Amino acid sequence: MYGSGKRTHVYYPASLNELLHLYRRKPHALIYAGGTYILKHSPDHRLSLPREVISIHEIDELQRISRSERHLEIGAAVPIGTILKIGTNILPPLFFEALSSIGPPGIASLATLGGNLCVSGPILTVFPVLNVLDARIELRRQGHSRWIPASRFRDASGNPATEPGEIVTRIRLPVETWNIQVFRKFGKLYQPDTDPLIFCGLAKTNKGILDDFRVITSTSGPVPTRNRELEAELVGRKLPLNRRETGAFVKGMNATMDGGDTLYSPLQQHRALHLIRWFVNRLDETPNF
Amino acid sequence: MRISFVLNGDPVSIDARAETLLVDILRKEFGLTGARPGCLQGECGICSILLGGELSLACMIPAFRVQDCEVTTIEGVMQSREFRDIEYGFHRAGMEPCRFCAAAKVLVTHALIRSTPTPGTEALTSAASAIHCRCTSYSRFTEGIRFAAEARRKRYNVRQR
Amino acid sequence: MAEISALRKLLQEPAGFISDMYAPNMLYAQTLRSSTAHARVTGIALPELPSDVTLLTATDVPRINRLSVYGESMPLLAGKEVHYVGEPIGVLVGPHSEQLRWILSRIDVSYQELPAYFIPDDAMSDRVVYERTREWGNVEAALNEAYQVVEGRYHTGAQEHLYSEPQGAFALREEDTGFLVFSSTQWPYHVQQTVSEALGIPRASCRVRATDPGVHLDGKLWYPSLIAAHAAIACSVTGRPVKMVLSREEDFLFTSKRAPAFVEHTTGLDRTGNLSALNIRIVLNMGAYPLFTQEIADRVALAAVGEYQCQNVRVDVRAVTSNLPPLNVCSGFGAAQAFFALETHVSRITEVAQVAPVTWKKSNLKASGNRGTGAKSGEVPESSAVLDAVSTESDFARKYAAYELQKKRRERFSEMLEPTRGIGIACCSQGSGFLQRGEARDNPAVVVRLDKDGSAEILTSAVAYSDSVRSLWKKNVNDILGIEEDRVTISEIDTSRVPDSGPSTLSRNVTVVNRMIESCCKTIKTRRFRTALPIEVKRTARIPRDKKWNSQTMEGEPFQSVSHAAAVVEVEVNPVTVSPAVRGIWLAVEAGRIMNPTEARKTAEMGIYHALGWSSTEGVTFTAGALSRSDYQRYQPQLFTRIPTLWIEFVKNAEKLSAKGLGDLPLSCIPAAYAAAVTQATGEYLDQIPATPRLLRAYMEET
Repeated sequence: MYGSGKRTHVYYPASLNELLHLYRRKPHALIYAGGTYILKHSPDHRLSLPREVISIHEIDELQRISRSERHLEIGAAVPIGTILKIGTNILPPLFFEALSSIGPPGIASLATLGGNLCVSGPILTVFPVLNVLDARIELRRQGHSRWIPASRFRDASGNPATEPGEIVTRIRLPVETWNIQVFRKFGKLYQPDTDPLIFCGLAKTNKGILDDFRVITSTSGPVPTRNRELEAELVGRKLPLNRRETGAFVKGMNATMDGGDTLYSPLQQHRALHLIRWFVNRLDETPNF
Repeated sequence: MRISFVLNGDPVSIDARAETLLVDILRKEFGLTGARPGCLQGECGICSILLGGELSLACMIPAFRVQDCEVTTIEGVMQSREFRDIEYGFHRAGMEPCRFCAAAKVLVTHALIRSTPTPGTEALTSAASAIHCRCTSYSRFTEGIRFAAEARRKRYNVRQR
Repeated sequence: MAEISALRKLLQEPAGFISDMYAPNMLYAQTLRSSTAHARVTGIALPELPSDVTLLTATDVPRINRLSVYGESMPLLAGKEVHYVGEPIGVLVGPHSEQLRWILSRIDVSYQELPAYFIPDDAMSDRVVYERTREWGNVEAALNEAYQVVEGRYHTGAQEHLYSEPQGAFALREEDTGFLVFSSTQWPYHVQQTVSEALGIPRASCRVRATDPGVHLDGKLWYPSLIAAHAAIACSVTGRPVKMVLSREEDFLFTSKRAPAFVEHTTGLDRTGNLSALNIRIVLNMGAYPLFTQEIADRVALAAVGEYQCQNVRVDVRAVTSNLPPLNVCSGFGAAQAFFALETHVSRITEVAQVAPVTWKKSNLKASGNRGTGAKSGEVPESSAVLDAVSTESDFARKYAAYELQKKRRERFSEMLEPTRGIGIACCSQGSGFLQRGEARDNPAVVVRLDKDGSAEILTSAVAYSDSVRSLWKKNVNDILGIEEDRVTISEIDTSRVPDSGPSTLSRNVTVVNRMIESCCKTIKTRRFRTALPIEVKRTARIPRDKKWNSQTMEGEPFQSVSHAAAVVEVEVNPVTVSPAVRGIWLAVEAGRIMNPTEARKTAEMGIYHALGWSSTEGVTFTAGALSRSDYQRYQPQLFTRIPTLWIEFVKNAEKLSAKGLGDLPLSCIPAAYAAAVTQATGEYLDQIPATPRLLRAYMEET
């Protein structure tokens, strides 16, 4: 019957320990941070909640941002808008741009890194960006915590690789100086027919030598495209790269795309490969950040 | 469930289902019709409010999420002295939003100039893009925000960098 | 301070939107819709309904189950057969809107599917509902003798109006008068007509109050009457107030859109590259229930040739029905579609003829005073002034030549990494009001009243969504009668008080209605000091005697006034991302007397952004006759990372003393200028809009 009479019980744990304890007892409860993705995809735009919800927006440990010489750590429930306020003096500019693209200000005040990472289904913005930054993600359950490379956060099917009872608590970004950082985003990641695409490119150059270099593309399909072997082949080369070198890299990335589990539409493939070609061709230019 | 929160500076308490959207609560329980249901997708911005002082979307907030929080609607913003800066800015730009989106445009402006005394082009464009309504051109809206920011700076004697 | 507080006043006044309305004992109504494009309805299986919930179907309509517009009609509720996905089959009424939604999802309608038809094709001849041919000279012979023949096929897509408030209505019983209906409409008297016919009551027993429709782009012209009728039928059957408001998604999925057009041009050029023959075939997809068909098709036939002169012309327009939702008006009545095709084709012609675009256009423009025929006269074409204005200000000639040279010298666009630029130009015209005979059809009227205290009141059913129109009317009263504008009121739109001024579309508010107000004021002026106050004057619209129009041969003066515009659009296209970015837009408008330049500029600005959306991102693609949530989520007006430079000028025409419409002009010239600019920048010939990156990429793959 309409309404079904069911009432949702909402828990408001005040600390991380309380949250972990609660989640262990109630593994089927919905952990609710910003909830923007859930609401956007609710049938009839009406939120349908399970019997139990755990609202985590008041947990202090998940709201912290700290910086050391080597790392920037961000709590999984910090709203994107709050992170952006830190600015590009602290945040890597690529990361800043990526977060700015997640939604308008009204969404950014609600959406969180943890929520964006944990959506089951399409890969959203945060995952490929953390991947290319070689970030690490802390997963905790009651009595246990571990850090994993961001690249391992999603399994081959694109689902979050969390174990039962685990939640994302912190994200750790290495503090590094990249001369060149490029972020581009197209379409809407939750809508395949908008040809969604994320491109991230990072490069470190020093006295005309390519010191470090990373490129990743993601279409919201299960696995972003990144080839560390190809990247490694270019590291240490003299800049500007010659035609053979850039051509080989682009060709290699094309093959990686074709051989991967993620399908690229013609527009996505065009953009991805052209962005890669454009990026590797400008590594000797004045840093853009 | 019982939801208690602060609405436009006043403590309030209501019984609501956990999943009821804030936009419906504001309109039906409190008669505050400034925040309107638009796309219900978090895209059009017509339901803009302030949650904890930050610009937010009432169609993206279920009732349980506002427990012990501070919610400010256009009706609250209009009581503030800061609203005059926006009146001035919109008037100076010749910006006349329609009745449907006026509240949302004021809130977006209010939230931006509060946090950014001198918004640059990107911030202005981002704010203008946050409200989808055909009634005003982008250029006029960004001008309105710019003039409002100018008035705000004068009020607080903030120097432009 | 009084002006500054206009914003405060706007926010403090009750907005009066349907979604804000409540009444004691109120019921909600929601629509049960067809889920298939063409079928016989064989059964409706209901879940167990609460005692206070009712489903109304076609058999529950008290009297006439039709919505009629100028001789064409559609059912209010489908009977035994449905013709499009989303067609209303029933109205579910009850006290809780969430409950109604739940129940609707559990109603099972069974169908016997019938063949469905979505786009015009070779088998469309039995689906033609109206055909208009316009011709002079001998097109076949001229094409045979032409020095060059240029062919092109063009397509414009459906567009969503994206008005502010979704469709809705509120109906309640009134003790004395019968029914009171609140409707967000451009045409209050059409709501009255539809509701009173449906209920079988005299028109005077149905009072309609129009709420603010906001920026409507003609989406609130006739559809509100359908919703109003549903709400009124529910109110009639239940005896309780009924509120019916669509969600924005439902509105997007199922309501009317701009009619798509397919246009074929075959053009003969003489040795100098000028027009010698124009053969144009246009097919308009009107959806399941064509409305305004003749008006749309005739206007399209006129716009097909645009402002050009040619001795041999044939224009063939066919309006075709299909199993899509009703498709008709959107910011005009079809001229924008015809102008897009024409001006895009002209861009191709100028390239083939190797003549600079502005030079070619000016050589082929018809002189003013030539409407409908190819005869020449000695006057300067009105479009010439607007073309000169935009091309000078934008430095069009130099940029065009430079970008052409770059295009010829560069490598293939798809292989490049650096952005390229392009610039395009287009011109158009807009006829205000209905085609001549149409204005006399309804006998529209306006009343102006001068009160004893010296204030004035304007009574009209015309819906002015913007202050610019209201201030225009008040200014007229001020100019003629000397009454200060703040002492001039515009009556609330209530059909029990105001006369029928006709629909608020086609810039009638600034032309037809405005002239009637002027006429009232002039009469009051002559009586003012001879007759006791109050003085109330009513005037109806008259077709000026010198404006003769033969609707059969399409000769003469089709409109009471015609305005002109030209636009230049400059773009930069990044071959890496295949994303055009607009650098600048220049728009020159000749629209007669501009009473309020600031307001006119705002109207033009809004039109520019609407036009850019239609040109680049706003695409509606039906799949098996339906739209999906994904289509809804994807559809949005164009968002800018960088706001383009806008230059707008109103070109003065010393002879023109009255105001003319300008709202539809940007949609008639900017899309073609945009397409031409993107074509030059990419080397890919754009022949349809919206020109999305996906489309561009597909074109790049083909070449």
